[in-house]
Amino acid sequence: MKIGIPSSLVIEKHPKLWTTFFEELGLDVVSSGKTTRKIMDLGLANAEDETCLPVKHFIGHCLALKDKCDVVFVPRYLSLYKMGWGCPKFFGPPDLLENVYDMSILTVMVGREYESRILFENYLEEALVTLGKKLGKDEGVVGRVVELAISAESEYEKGLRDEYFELIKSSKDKILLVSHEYILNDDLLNMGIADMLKELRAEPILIDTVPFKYEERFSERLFWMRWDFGVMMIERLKKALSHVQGVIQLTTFGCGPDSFLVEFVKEECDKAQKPYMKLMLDEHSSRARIRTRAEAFLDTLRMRR
Amino acid sequence: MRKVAIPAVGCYKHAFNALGRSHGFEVIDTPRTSSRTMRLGSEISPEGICICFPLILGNYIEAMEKGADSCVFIGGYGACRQFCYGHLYELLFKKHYPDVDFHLLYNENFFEVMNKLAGRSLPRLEVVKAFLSLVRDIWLVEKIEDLSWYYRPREKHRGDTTRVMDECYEMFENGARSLRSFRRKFARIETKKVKPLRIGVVGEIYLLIEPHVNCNTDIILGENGVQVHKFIRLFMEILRALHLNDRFTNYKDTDKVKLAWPYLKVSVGGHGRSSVADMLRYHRMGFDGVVHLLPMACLPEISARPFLKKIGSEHKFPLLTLSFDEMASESATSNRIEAFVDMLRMRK
Repeated sequence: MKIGIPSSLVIEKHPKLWTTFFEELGLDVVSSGKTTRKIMDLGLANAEDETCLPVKHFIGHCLALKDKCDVVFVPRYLSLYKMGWGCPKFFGPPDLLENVYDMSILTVMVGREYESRILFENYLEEALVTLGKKLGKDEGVVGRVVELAISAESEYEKGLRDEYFELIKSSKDKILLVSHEYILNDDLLNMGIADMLKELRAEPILIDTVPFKYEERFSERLFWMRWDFGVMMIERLKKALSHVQGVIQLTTFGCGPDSFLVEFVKEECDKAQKPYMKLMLDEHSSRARIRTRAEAFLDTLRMRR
Repeated sequence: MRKVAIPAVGCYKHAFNALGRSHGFEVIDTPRTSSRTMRLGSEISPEGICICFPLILGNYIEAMEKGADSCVFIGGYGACRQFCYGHLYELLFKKHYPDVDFHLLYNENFFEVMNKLAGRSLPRLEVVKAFLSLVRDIWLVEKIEDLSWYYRPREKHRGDTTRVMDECYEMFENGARSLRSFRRKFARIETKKVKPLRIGVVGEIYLLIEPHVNCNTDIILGENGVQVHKFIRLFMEILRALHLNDRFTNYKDTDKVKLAWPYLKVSVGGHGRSSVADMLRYHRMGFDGVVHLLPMACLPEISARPFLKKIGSEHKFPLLTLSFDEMASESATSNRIEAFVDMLRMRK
């Protein structure tokens, strides 16, 4: 059975996990690859008008995989930890692709719909075991493969952390790029801003490289914010602020969580007295516009000294 | 005596105004939501947030202009952005209005808030009685709205029903609580013998309740000869928060899950899954069509919209989706609704 994995949205949160899992179980895996203009146009033409740009991007990737594989893998990220939630836009796509676009989907639920307020627990491992059972594999084999997949993902994350500790020693102006992983890892969506900053002699630091311990999710102040990814972003920001000279936040049109996370990020930057800029990206963005803004930001930063 | 601001949501503000009268605090009569409210609220709101946020903030600001010194807000529950409204309001109030007390029903429970507002420790029984009379007032105000939905498509002279509705609300403010007296007032409206179309309205709760945001959809539909029905209303939501809603209706939450299962297997937050289930239920009840109201870029409703369109095309059930933002105008809405209703008439 050939399984298609779209390289977009929730899959980008754990890039190595799912691919390793399927390959170790002996299944063929096809990735939708880097985003091209054709994929983006497919998504924009078929998705709902007012959805956020990443979901349109995701639907484009899934539709591009339609003829290349038997099933498309779309996990449903309800929550990563107990008492947390992903963005509601992550809940809908498996049903959407199956019932409205008539595709054959392989899905697994990560997390529970109605959580109970007990202890800290990690749902990813549970989801991997369920998926193995669904594919009809033996329990022992599944257990071994789950361990391999999780260790591959941890190694990848360790690589990111080492990169972070290297970069903060740099003597250039360090700019922290705050955004979601599916925007930072995709050059068509983020308009190549990391490369632009490197050309302007600054060092971009991506927020998903900043180390984060899962226990920190339960910090006092943000306990009410049940969006795992929002809390992770702000805790990482607080850690990295003392090492960087400026912060650029990339949001996309229509992003629900970002519309209020912006306020909290701004508050943290004001407290630490670091310059902050917000860039809104949508399907009409052009590289020249982003480059002009980045240049102006760096000039202002350097003039302050 | 403390002056309290509670958001003036649609017709329910008449119910909230009666809350503090005998308990030692006064609820300010917030002016009706208008474009001024929108302007005041959006000056300090974050960009890109759904339309409900600046409107409620505008309500608070207008109440503060009339002298309010405390504000109350209910914390949200679902997965949509509503749960963060209270905390964002706290942040903005600290920055811009530090003299005003802000009470959030997530941090404090109903008893503590009532004690703080009254300025003394109220006996528990009194607070429970206040809550029950608030719930009864909300139920009565909804019954007045139901009556207006029944009479408006049947009225002979345009504008009669709206006039009687305003008179009933005035009677309510002056202390009238008898449903029979409201029914008698409505029965005096001159009617013509006509069988109106039946349309169900689904969507996000704030838009279903607040007439200024949805550009008076209820009135436009009624004046085009349509009898409106809604499943999502504030009384049921309060009961749902207390886990009592299943006892008062035979359309239970488990029925909604079962109805929506072939299309949507989990809740997408807010009232997304309810919209899908309600549309299927209206189809079974033999309604003529469905109107779907949502704020622009509302998270759950945008996730549910493709399913509604699929249901519409599969079952040949007419659907009209209207999304609202600050630039929405009454004439555009009225044009679309008139065209939709004409199309429904031609089908019959």
